[in-house]
Amino acid sequence: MKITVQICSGTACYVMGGAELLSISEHLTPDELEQVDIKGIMCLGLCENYNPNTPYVKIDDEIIKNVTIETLTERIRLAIKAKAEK
Amino acid sequence: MNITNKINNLRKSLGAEIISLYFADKLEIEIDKTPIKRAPKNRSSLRCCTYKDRAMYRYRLLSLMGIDIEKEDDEYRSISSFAKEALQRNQIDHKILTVIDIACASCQQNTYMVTDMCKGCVARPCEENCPKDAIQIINNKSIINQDLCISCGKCEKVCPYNAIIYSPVPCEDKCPVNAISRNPETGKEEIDYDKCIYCGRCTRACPFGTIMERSQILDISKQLKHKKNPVIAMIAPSIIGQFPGTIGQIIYGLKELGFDYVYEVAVGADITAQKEAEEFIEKQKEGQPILGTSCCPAYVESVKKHVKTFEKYISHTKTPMAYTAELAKKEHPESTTLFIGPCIAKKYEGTNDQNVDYVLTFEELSSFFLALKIDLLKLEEAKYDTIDATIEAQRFCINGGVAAAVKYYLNKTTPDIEINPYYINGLDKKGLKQLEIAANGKLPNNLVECMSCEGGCLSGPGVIVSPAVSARKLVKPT
Repeated sequence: MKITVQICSGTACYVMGGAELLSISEHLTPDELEQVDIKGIMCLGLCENYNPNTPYVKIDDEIIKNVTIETLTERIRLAIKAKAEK
Repeated sequence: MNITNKINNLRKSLGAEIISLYFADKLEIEIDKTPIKRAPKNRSSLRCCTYKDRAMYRYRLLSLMGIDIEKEDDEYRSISSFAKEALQRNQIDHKILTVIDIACASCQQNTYMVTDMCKGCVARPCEENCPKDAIQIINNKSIINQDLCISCGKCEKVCPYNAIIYSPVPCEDKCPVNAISRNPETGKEEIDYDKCIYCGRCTRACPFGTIMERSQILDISKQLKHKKNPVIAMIAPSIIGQFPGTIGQIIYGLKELGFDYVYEVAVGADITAQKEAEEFIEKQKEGQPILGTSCCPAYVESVKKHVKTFEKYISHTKTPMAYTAELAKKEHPESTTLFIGPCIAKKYEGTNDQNVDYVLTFEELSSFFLALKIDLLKLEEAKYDTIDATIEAQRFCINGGVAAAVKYYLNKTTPDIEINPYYINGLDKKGLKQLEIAANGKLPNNLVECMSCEGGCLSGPGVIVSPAVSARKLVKPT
């Protein structure tokens, strides 16, 4: 089973920095890419009232907030490592 | 700075708050609470204290409502009273930027400095390479004499310990025409509008968000809410990749916002390219050595103010925005027209074009989608209310795109005339010099394509998405 990385592409997440996350595959190695399934998804419904925590990403069942390309890369690596240790 | 940063996101969300309060008929009642809600008592502050944060919110809200802060800074007045005034206005004036003086951090001058990492080495490459003998070694440390230093940066490059750093004033550093400088009396930055070319770089360079646009979001909200006449959105080609979903979904989203028609500005770009090709042939026949493109308003303004010798070589062809607006007003004479693009200089151009009523950036458009909770991915698709534009015209928004489109039309009619463009990709001091050289007839080329933003409109100050991401969605020519 691959790790699923779902990048929220609701309008709020997208315009608050989520768009940049769509280039995540360029920041991972081919090996790492083999182990993840990256996709944009519909609004997760977490962005009410201009909260400053956008953009959101869901890695498997965990929701992370305020994601940047750097933090996302790191989180994906951690998830891959955690899975390997299991 | 990265395009996603707290200042850029703050503008979007505050803009959205203004719009949503207005649409809920609560703007004048609620807006004075916004600074307090955003900077509540028991939370860590962004600046020195909560109260300064609140003051900053106030000024940001005012500029987003289009108030000229430098002129109308009456601290006795409520934000609400400014909102009321803004809603009564029917016209936009030429002064499209405003400086929040209390936001300005009074940065030190652009300087090279020697840090504590200096080991006072024996080779002393900094001293050796300084062309002005501005570096001395005192107590085994390198010292730069700021009176002699010309900021060439040679010492920074040669130091083996990276001990010398460049500390810029970000707004001044990014301004290509020295239009922004520190007022020695107040210590705050001021814009000299006799020099300013409205490129908008300072607005995105300042990490304190000191320089703001005087936004027209309220004027447009008013048009959309209390509609008397049709409202037309004209979308620049660089919309590509700025929002989630397809172009069709964005058009549908604009109609959900209340726009009656959505025009593709690339249609105007086709007219620009075609007419510029005709003008090119004409000028070649007349013996004029070079023709400058005319679609980038910041570059045109820079020529008018700083390279007057090149002015006569600029094409008289109108911009894609102007042709599109002309078409819109012809097809719907009673309509209100709004250009939506990546550009701040277009706001200035818009105030000089009677067919263009308002101008928004993509960033400001995003505030509308946020305020009215329009989730683009969930929408159906709609089509532009204009004819299809060519791929060449849609590629107007990238470096090389304009010259390529002119060439495309030239090849159609007169393939025997050779076009040899010179590209100024991102107008800086060197680019201005090149324009001067071109005016003196010393360039071997016969067309100058100049774009104020490096990479073209996709890198404009009003974009939401970095060009590295958005450019991927651009259609390749066949």
